[in-house]
Amino acid sequence: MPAYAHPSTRTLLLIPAIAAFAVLLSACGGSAVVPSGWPGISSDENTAYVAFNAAVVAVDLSSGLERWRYPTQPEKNLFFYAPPALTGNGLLIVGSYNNKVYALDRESGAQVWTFEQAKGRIIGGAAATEDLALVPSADGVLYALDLKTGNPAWQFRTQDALWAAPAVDGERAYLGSLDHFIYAIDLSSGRQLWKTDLGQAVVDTPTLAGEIILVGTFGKELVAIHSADGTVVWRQPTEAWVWGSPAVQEGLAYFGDLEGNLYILNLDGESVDGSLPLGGPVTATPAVTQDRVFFVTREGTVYARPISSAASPWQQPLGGQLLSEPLVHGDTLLVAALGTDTLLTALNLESGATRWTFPPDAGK
Amino acid sequence: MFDTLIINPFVNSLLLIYDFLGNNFGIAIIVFTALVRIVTLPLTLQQQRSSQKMQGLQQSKRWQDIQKKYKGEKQKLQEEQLKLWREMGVNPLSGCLPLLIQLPIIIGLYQAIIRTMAATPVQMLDLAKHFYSFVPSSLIPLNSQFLWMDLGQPERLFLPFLPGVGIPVLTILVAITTWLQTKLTTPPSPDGQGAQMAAMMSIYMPLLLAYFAYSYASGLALYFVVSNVLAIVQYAAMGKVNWRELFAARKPAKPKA
Repeated sequence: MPAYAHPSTRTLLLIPAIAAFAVLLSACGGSAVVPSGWPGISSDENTAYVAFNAAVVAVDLSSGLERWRYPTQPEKNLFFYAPPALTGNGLLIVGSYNNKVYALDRESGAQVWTFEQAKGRIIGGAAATEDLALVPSADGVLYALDLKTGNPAWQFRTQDALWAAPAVDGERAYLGSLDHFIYAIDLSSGRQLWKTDLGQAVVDTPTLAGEIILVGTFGKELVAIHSADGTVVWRQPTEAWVWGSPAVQEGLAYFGDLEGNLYILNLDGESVDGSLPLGGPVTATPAVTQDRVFFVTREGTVYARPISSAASPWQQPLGGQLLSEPLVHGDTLLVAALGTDTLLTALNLESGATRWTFPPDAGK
Repeated sequence: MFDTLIINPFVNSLLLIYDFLGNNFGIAIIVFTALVRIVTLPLTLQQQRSSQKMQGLQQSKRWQDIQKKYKGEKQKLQEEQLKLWREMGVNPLSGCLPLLIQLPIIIGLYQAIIRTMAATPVQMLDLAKHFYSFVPSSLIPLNSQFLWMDLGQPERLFLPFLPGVGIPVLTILVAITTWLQTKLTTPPSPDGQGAQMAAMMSIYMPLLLAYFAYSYASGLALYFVVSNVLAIVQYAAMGKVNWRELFAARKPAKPKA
């Protein structure tokens, strides 16, 4: 053996290379199995419900304090990102990345039933009718569950993952899928009434506006479809992919795209105001009131744009990424954030001033 | 910067190959990995030549004599080594440079594979940032089914006679091919420390990659297997594979006269 051991440069380099390789793999490679989503929120008269990471948390709307959480302690592989759905019988329906659906008592957070037959993650929120919970799954199936028992009433299969709840109009559900189709389904039987190929993935709940359905696609357009037969009424091109469906108020549709352009169209597809820039990509359907429309952006800012001449605009930087749909509750705007020290923020609708914040310890 | 130069071109190339090959993501990964290997072949060759030259030098009698003569005189030893390198026209860094250039390409390759598979909204949002405008967005979502695997999920093979037991076939293949590749393509080291490191590598590298293959999306595991097999084939085609190394314990190479 030589007196002075001199490892070859190749060997010397391989050790740090392996270390760097391992670190880089850990940083990015796990994303396919480690759940990644943004908070889902909903609210009733007194309470906001936030599904994020390891828990669903009920937050008192007047104080911003926690009322309950489910589960009380984090459980392995249990992650929630789907917006919880409120039902008429006092339940909260929420799906998890462990493929299960949970029905919780809204008052106590106690588990009432679970549904465990889905083969894919529950990424999108459920839609509730009088007696059914319609749960979209990444296995491409829409599960219609009996609200009282959680037993499946029917299933509707599409060709690819479902990432959003269907829109429901009483007798029908309108469902967008990553398989590029939009489907109309009879609620009583689960039978397909029509389907329309949009040629591009749909990842949000369609918006119902009278007799038309509005839906954004990854094909850089907003599409209006006749709800009766699924025929395309018009297509309006956009600058970038449209993730969030529009909010409709007084015959106008408001939405944004992934390059941060804001669009205002009438229901004939004509642009009322050209694309107006926001500060960052928009994934969420905006919230809308009589006076203002509220957009949230991935860059972490809330924008209030006036609709009526009496209102004034404001914008409020909150930090983190604002990807979840904002909610209007009375005179408060609820905004959930990803990657910051506040999970939920309540803002004054008029001024944008912060009323209270709720920390993100739901994920811990 | 890394996104602009490496990730974006890789993601979009992968998508175009996927489109061209009839929407089979498994085949797209195999072809893409092969193409990257071909493109980086000159670097691999250069690295190999340098390392061979260095290895030859370190096995020479003059090198060994210097080691013995200046044992305990670190400064003097380094001076003499430098002199010998110059004399023999060997640059110790010329073996490192191609490896350093290849590293970001390798990292970019597997990052592109992971990002393109986008199985959750956050990943899809990230993928949208990388899309070139001329790549059709109608390719989304990718068909991640390949043979029995969902390339976006960790792979397990369920057999009818073994209910409830998933066999991680790709993980096993990753471990075997990584071990083979490390054994067959790492040249014998002229010193004890180097041989020891190489021996450690042949144990830890397969275990590390097998762990990733077991835990993460099987698209990544497929890339590991293809990359390992191609590396072995590449070395074999160049006549550099030493099959006798397979089951031999690593020992320092003997000095040449």
